[in-house]
Amino acid sequence: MKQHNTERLSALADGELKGINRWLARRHVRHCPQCATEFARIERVRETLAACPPVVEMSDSADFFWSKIRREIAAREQETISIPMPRLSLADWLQVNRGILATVTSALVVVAGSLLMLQQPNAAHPGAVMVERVDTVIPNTVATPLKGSESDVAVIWVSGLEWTPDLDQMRECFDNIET
Amino acid sequence: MAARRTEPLNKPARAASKLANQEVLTELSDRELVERCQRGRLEAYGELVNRYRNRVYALALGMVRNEQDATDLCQETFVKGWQAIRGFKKNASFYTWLYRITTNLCIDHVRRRDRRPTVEFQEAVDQDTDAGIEVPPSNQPLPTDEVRRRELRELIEAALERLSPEHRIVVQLREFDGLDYSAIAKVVGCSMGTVMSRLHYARKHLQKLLQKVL
Repeated sequence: MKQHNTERLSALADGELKGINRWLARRHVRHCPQCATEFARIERVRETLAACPPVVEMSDSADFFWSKIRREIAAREQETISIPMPRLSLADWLQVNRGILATVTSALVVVAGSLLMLQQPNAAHPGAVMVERVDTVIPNTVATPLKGSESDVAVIWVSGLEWTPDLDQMRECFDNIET
Repeated sequence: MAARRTEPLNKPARAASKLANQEVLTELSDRELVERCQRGRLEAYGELVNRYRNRVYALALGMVRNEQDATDLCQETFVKGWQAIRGFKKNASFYTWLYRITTNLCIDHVRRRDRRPTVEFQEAVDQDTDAGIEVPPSNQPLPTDEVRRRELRELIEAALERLSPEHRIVVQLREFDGLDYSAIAKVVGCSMGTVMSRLHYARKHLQKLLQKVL
């Protein structure tokens, strides 16, 4: 809180600031005499009001009040009205539910990361050239063209050879074939 | 098949049954009572009325500063609440919803009342609203704690009366009902930032009005 944001002092006094915002506001109050005075005034107003809450009790007895309401409800039996539910704006909702939001975001990141890992099971070593089979078999051969992740890959896969999308592993398999 | 006995309950038994029913209702949560109300059980609503009537009345009185008007508004709040209870969503807070109805009725009432030109209104406008409220001279005998407290309460009530309805309602909900900013925002129908701002300026105004006792 670099500037004298006095509105936030009320929120600080009410315990409505959380985390870093509370820490920043407290630190500012410690170092700024103007805001410290203002904060003390707010606290005094709060204490004065809390010391003398209004003593309010309805003069109607509970039974009498309920009988009046019942009578009125009966008189307006046919009327139904719709009252919108009180709700927070999206920005306020996000602010209030920061914890839930952080948890959901973390969970989504973990799930997305796991899915990516599952889609690349053979990416054992970094920099490996990955290839995939093209479904057309070259006529009169047992070879199938391969499409590589790099443009200069020009290899073919021979039927019977153990399939792997990792080009280096495939070469090893090919080298191991006894001719 | 044996015929079932359907003897009517005698008066003490009926009273006992009614008492037992009431005892059960008092043990239910707001949510459970609302569910019963939505099924048309008026006695469940009676329990909710009993639970909240003084709080709603205090809120209304704080807003309109007139006991008869506050009682009428309190009654209207509960009647409207019953009429709209079928649309109430169960995951919401019942008292926040009830306070919202009260607040809207009170603000409408205050605006209607303030539009009526009266001598008192003109006088109120002519006053310097930021002037401190008079306190008893200090040469009077030292009042007891209770008397002093009553005087202070009167000063506070006079100061609250000078606030605008929008400022008064946030002070009331925060200081006397202990609602947090998100609940106040829902009741008043504004953002939490607006609640923070209104509360701050209301307190600044109260500082000036109560400067002699702070």
